[in-house]
Amino acid sequence: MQCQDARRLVPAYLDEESSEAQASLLRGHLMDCPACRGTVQEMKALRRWFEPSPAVPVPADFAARVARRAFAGDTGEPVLAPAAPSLAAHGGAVTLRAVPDFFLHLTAVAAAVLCALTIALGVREAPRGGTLRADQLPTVDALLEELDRLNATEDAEATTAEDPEDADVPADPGVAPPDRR
Amino acid sequence: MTAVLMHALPTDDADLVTRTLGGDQAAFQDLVERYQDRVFSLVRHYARTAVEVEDIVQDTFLKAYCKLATFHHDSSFYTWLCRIAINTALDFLKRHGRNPVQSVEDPEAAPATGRSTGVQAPDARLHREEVAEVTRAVLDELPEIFRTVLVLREFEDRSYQEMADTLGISIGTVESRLFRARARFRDKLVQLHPEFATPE
Repeated sequence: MQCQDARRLVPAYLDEESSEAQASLLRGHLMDCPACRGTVQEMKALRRWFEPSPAVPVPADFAARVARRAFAGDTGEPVLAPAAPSLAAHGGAVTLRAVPDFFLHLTAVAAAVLCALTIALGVREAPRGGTLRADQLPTVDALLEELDRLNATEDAEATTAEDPEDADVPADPGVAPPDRR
Repeated sequence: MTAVLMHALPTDDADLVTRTLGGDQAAFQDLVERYQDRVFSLVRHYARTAVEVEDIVQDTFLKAYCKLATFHHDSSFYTWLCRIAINTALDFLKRHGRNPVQSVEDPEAAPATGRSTGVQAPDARLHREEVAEVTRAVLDELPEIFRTVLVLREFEDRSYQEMADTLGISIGTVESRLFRARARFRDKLVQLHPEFATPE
C-alpha cells in the first residue's frame, strides 16, 4: 500500500468506519511506515480538542411545558423577529415573543391619550364667544399713533427738564447710554 | 392500574408518534423526555447561553410537533429531529445577527487545504472548560457545513450513515466533508492559537 492510499483511509479508520479489510491493510502499512504513523498520531491529537463537555442541565418541567405549548398551538416559529428568550423558561406564563404585541398595544393607548389631551387643551384655550371680538381689537394705525405720541412726550421732557445731579457725572466711556428711541 | 402498567412499558418512537398525532399530549411529552438530553447537547454547540439553548430546543420540539405528520419513518425519529434542531439553531443565529459563516467554496469540489502545520493535543495544564472554549471559538470561525459535521461526528458520535441521513448527503460526501472540516479546524486553530502548532 502506498502512503497516499493509506492516509486516505486514516480518518475512517480512526472513526471506526472502515471495513475490516481496509483496517487490516492500513494496520499492516502503519507497522512499516513511521511517516503514516505520525499522521495517525496527529489526527488523534486533533480529536482531543473535541472532548465531551458536561451535560447541559434540562429543566425538570421542560417536556411537560413544551407538550402543553405544542397542544396549545405554539408552532415554534418566530412571531416577530428577532425572537427573544422565553420568560416561560423560567416559570413565567408570558413569553417575550408577546412583548412586541404588548408594546404595540401600549403605543396605541398612548397615542389615543395624547390625542384626547391635545383636543382638551385646544378647547380650553380657544377663544369663547362674548369674551373676544375681532372688531374690538385696536387697529395698527391707532397703536402707531399712540406710540408716536408717547415718544414725542418723552423727547419734550428730556429737553426741558434737566437733573442737576446728572450734569457733573461723566458718562462711562465703556458703556453706551441707553437708546431712548 | 392497567393504565399505569401500560404507561410503564417501553414504547417505541413510532407508537409515540402515532399517539401524538391522535391527540395524545402525554405521548408527545414522552417523546420530548426521551430526546431532550440529546437535543440540548447538540444545540449547545450553536448557542452561547443556557437560555438560548433552551429556547432553540423548545422551538425544535414545537416545530417537530407541527411537522409530525410529515415524518414517514424513513429514518429514525432522532435523525429527523436532529435535522430540525440544526436548522432551528442556524435560523436562530441568523435572526440574532450571528450569521453562521457560509462556505464560499464548494466543500466537496474544492481542493483540500494544503498540508500545513500540525496541531498538538490540548496542553494537559488546560482545564476542560478552557479546551472547550478554544474549540468553540475555532468552530465559530468555520463555515456552517464544516461545523455541523464536526459537531455531529466529534461531539454527538454520529456514524457516517446517520450523518448522511441527517444532512441528506451521501456517505462519500460525509467522508470528504469531514476530512476538509478537520483540516480547516486544524488550520484555524493554529491561526488563532499558534502556541498549539506542532514544533517544526
